[in-house]
Amino acid sequence: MNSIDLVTICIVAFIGVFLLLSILAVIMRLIIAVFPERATGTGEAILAVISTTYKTHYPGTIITRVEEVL
Amino acid sequence: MNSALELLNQSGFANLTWGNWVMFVVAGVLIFLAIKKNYEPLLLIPIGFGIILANLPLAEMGSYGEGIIGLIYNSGIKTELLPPIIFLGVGVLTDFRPLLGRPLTFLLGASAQLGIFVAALGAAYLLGFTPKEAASIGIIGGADGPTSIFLASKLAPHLLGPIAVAAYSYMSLVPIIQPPIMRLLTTKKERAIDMPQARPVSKTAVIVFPIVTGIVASLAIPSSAPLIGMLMFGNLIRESGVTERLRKTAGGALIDIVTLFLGLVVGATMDAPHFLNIKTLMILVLGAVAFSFSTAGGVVFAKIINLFLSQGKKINPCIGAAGVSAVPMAARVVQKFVSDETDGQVNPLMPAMGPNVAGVIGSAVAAGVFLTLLS
Repeated sequence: MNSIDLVTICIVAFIGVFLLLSILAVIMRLIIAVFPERATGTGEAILAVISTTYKTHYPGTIITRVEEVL
Repeated sequence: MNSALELLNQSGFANLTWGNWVMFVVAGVLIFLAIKKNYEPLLLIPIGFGIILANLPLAEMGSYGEGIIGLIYNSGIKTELLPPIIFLGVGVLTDFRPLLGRPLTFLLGASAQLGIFVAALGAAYLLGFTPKEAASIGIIGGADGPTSIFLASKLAPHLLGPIAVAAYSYMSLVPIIQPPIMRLLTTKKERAIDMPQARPVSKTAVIVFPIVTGIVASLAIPSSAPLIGMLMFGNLIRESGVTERLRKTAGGALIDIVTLFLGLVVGATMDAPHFLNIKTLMILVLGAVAFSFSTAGGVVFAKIINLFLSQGKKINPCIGAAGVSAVPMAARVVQKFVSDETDGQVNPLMPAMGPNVAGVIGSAVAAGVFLTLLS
């Protein structure tokens, strides 16, 4: 195998890497479109803080849901 | 008396060469850098001690010898076993959300592989390495230790030691190598581009990602499957949320055990006859070239992408430098560089993590392509 072959190999390899990662980028964009992140409402951290505070005043209480009223 | 003399003659002391002493110094430098400078200590200490073991005359503790290190080398490196297991652990430890939130940064991970091909061509054309050796040297530009070991063990096992040391050394030198290149290739205005937050990524998307990527990449380049397949398997373990024990083992004990063996065995490839030659010096120089061109490739391509993006959607070209794998150090270097340049106004750590993890995939794919075309 001579050096000219290596030039071809390097060009093909670089294009191959680019092409494959481009395809993956497109696929990922589609996946994100198909499975979008839904609004989660109250964050887990906020829920934990409210639960802890509430339990301090009312021991034994279990918080299952916190709803934000606008 | 004769027995005592015979014993002395059969000792390692009587058989030490100047080359062994030089290698002890090399080992000492690596161990010093690991302990004092905290440069990749988890790897440089096993590598450093492996060098010491390999240079103990008559002890048969080199990777090419008949002893236990040789056994680990033959069953762990020659069989391609250890690097993919490292990739399994890397997959467990890697969060691909920054990449999924900005799929465009996949391209930066690809463009930052430029140095691999530049160094490979330089090695073949300018320095007379064979194509297989040149490809193994070039992959240093991918800034990915396990990938470098994986490819070198297949294409140029006699150069495994210097290639591994160059790869890991340059990875720890990212904070020194990359900032001048970023400064040279970007304007102050470009460095001040503050990117908007990436779009949020759903749990389903992060679970689908490793499955789809594993299938697509392995079908496209089957020889990259050992690396990509294990990387994506590890990531699925992480993201599934139902395999906590496997996640802890693969990202903890398993990767540590394999790192121990890998470092020791790679160090033990560096006995004096294999390491002390002009080729080693050339590999170290080419490694720096590869790294620099990869960094430049990422930055320049980010600037090219910006030509097609509207104002407000432009990306900070410095994040292209993070495309050279070396997770997460390259992203941290970009963050520090940009933050320092903008007095803390712009902090692109999360945007830089996108190309950073894309670079891991990119270098593994590049290694797979080389394997396919050169094996």
